[in-house]
Amino acid sequence: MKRLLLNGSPRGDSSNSRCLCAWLAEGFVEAGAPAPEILSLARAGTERAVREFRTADEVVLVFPLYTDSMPGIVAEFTNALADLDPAVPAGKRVGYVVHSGFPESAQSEPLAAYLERMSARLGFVHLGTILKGGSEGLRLDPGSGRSKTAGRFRALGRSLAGRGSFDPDAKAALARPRRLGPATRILFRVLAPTGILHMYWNVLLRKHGAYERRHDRPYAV
Amino acid sequence: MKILILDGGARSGNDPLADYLASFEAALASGGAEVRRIRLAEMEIRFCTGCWSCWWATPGLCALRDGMEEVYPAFLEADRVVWAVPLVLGTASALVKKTQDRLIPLLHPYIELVDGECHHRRRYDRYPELGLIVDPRDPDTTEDLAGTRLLFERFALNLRSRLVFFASTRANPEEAAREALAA
Repeated sequence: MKRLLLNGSPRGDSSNSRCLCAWLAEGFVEAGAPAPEILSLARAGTERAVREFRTADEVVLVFPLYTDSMPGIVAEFTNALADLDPAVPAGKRVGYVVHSGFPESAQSEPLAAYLERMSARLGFVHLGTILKGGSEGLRLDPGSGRSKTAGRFRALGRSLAGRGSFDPDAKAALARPRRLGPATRILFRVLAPTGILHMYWNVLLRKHGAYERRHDRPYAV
Repeated sequence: MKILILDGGARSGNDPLADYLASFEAALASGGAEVRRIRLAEMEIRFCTGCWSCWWATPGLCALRDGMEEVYPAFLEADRVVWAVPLVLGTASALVKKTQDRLIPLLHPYIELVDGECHHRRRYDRYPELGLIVDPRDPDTTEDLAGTRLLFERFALNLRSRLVFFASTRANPEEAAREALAA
């Protein structure tokens, strides 16, 4: 069986999606399966990605939520699948990982519903969609490979290689929180005036010498 | 009322969406609107690379210099922006989607709660209301139309706007224009 992990992040190999693909691949190897190819859609381009897709039996497409749906490069890839002979995609085992900077996985649910419809239309064996919030900055954390998130993605890889399906416990754990609870919302409101919630962005703004210009409006009319 | 139509139709050839939009645009103008249509297929619009320069290096300014430099001020100047969207596999085409992605510089990276959900803070004082015209093809279903509408409602919320108008090219364009003006 040829497995393909397709990284659909516009950032390519320096992306959070690449981290998630690597952890899934480690899970495959832990289960005794060969390490699957991880292909960056941003680097390879749509044409090559479609070629690899054609010869794969099982594909997991991993990408960040962009303006509430799939990134443009992923849309270009799926648009290309629409042009294939219907016999090519039919029967392929396809799953998805959608991750977002926002912590709530509920923000990705409308897209997950669409991916299920698209899979049915293309005749895929739909493996489901893993939702993961709070993914911004994963790639910048050298300890993230030892995190619970990494362990859960390895568990998904092991279960997909071993049982042919995503581990339901890992899937459920990654989707938490679905929405912010009342206590978190209160904490958010209390902390908002302190600026502590913006620390991640402020560090990056200062690093680039742009902090003082952070409220610029260059396209104002 | 200034209305901007972001036309996601094909570059040339027999495009039924183009015919529909010609009637829709004329009806808007006769209803008193100042209408501008931007044909996205005729512009050079590159894919967002996720560099986040617009958030942390040149705040608010996209690092890519292409057709979007014309779209950004037109978008902010409009009272209402109508997205004209051909459906591919039951959702917005890649051309439309990459244009949506490129609007990220219009928002601030900071996060705040909106109705209990995390969303980006506004960068500008006002944003246009959004409308959506979908152009379905066989075998697109009513579920596809509803799903695309929901994705645009979410997109509007994140853009700190709201979707005020929805139509399909299966409906009469003059009637759709009346609804767009009244919304």
